[in-house]
Amino acid sequence: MRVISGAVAGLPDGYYGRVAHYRHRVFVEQLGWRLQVQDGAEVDQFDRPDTVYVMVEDEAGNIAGCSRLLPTTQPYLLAEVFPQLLNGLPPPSDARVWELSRFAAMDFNARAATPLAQFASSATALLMRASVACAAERGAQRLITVSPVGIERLIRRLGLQAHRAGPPMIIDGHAIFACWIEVHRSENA
Amino acid sequence: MVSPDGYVRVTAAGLRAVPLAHLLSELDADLDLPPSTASGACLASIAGYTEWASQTTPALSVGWDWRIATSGCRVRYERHGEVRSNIMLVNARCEDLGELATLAVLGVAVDNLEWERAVDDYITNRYACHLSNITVTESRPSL
Repeated sequence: MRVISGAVAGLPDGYYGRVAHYRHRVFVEQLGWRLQVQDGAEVDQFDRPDTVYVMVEDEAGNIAGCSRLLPTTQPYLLAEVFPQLLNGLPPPSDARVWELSRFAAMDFNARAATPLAQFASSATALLMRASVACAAERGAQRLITVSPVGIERLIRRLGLQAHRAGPPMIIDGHAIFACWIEVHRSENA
Repeated sequence: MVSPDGYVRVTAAGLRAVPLAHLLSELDADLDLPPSTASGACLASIAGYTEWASQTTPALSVGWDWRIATSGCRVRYERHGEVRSNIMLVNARCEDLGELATLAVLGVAVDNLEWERAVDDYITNRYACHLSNITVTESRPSL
């Protein structure tokens, strides 16, 4: 497997479109999230030129996982859409804090591609570690993520230093929450 | 109030004084439910997680994994793994006790919570149509 990361302008040709289609397959088709869709691609207002993408590609060249990193000094998903998940804390706006969102590592070529299976795969671990490292390279000391609650189990299993920001909430029928990840301590885990 | 690092800081005594209410519980999505023709006890793979929270502001949030364990003729829920939370315990001088000490205290608090009935009721109602396919032959004295 290999990791590819960068803003849209720095990605190899076609990769941004592949990520958007992969996200559609995961979040819209598999998880049933009601998200903005364009021609089979899942894209929203936070997919911008400064957005950083992290992808894991398997040996056959298939995308096996992706995530999205946004600086909290610019509009980001948690602050704009789900601030209630922060348990009363004002959304951070700090160059040392980045948001991790749209984290997915579902191998559609595996026999059992299910929402929980993604949390146990090697691609998932690689993607999470690569996402943390990619954020660290850009000056992040902490990540804040808005995710399904299951990701907290993954984070803990990987030995990353993390804790939730507050209780999960049911939004559009899905239990999601916000979680803090300590970048520097996690890098050394 | 919530600290800038996202923790809610509370003493152990303060934690014990705050009631936690059941928020939600889920079966693990990979649960391999048997076909409707299955018979006999099929409990080995039943597991999930549960979420509890206080009604305070800010809210204390606590979650943990559970599984259904069998021992002899007893069938019971048991906590599996560490508690996940937004809590950092502090001493009387408001100094952090640290993650490990907090996890230990939270584990004891959860195990004293008598959470099994709430989870069982919630799961049974939520997954009634699925769980009806599972035949449990043992009595359930602990639930």
